[in-house]
Amino acid sequence: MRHRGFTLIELLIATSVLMLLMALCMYGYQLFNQQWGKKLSEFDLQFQKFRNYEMASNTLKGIVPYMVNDGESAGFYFLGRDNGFTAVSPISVFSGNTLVVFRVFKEQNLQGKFKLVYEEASLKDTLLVNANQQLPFSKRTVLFDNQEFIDFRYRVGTYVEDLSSDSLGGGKKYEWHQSIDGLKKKSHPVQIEISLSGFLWTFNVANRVSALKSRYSKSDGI
Amino acid sequence: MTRIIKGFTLIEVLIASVIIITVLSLSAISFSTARTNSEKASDTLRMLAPVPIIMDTIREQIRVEVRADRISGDGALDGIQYRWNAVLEIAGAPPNNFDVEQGITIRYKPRYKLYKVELTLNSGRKSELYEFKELAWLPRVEEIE
Repeated sequence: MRHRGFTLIELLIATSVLMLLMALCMYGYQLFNQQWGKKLSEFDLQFQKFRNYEMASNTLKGIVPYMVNDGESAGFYFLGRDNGFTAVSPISVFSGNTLVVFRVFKEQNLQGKFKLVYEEASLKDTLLVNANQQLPFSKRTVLFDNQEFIDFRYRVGTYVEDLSSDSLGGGKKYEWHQSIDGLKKKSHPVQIEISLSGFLWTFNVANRVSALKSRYSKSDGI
Repeated sequence: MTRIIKGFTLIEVLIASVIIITVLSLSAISFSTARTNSEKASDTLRMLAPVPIIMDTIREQIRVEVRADRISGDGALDGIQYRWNAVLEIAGAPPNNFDVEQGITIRYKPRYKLYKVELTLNSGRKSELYEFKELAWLPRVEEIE
């Protein structure tokens, strides 16, 4: 039995049909891929946000009073203003558990609303000794966007003569301030509050101020 | 010698089309589940992202209002509305301490409170309920009458 081969016409028709099918499949697949890509990028965005929140809240909760030289005297490396603050934390958003100097501040976006920006400078290879040291704030991320308003407050303890008014902390009076300069006031806030359009994000700072101060004055004496 | 070319029988065609349809529908299902899954995942993440921060705030508020047995609050963060209720579960004292020198047992007043917190999150199209426990210490014993 002799098999008859395909004629040219048959072959052409078959290939064109196949090509058409392939093209259709490719088009469908591309369409699907595009949509899925959109979904995936949305997921990535959400995940980035999730990670940012988690890391930033760890960093902010880890704030430590850090003493530096300021000319003749020494003070705390903390500067709080009504538009943001600079502090030191042993937990970093970008580089794991390394000491970082970071600043959190508000910035106006194009719509006239506010965003909360986080910037950090790693102290992995540099030692922070002096207050006027230049630090490279190279890493940056936006924590919250499109906020109606963002406010900052700092709770600072000051020694008072009259102990009867407030027995908490033994002679210390705690008050909220709009701004604090840790270098000049020689104290560190014990609580920091960020108001995000009414949501109060508060975190406590480990109170090592007196311990650090006593250590510093001892070494000054030697 | 030529032979009449035999076409497919109905059965053959049916079986072939059934196989093709199954393969096609299976692949379509796997594609669409992949899509809906990634959508669900990003929805869940959107809901969960602000939760650590909200929980910190709740903890802070419970510590401030620790004298109350029922504490609640609400608010919104990053497009997620939340509402929470804390109900006292246990108010306890540290275990009794036997003082060897004086030979007496020291009993403590209730010092801590364990709350059960119900947190409802709402993101417009989705609503989620979480439950967790939160511990808060009362201020120093001397301060309680």
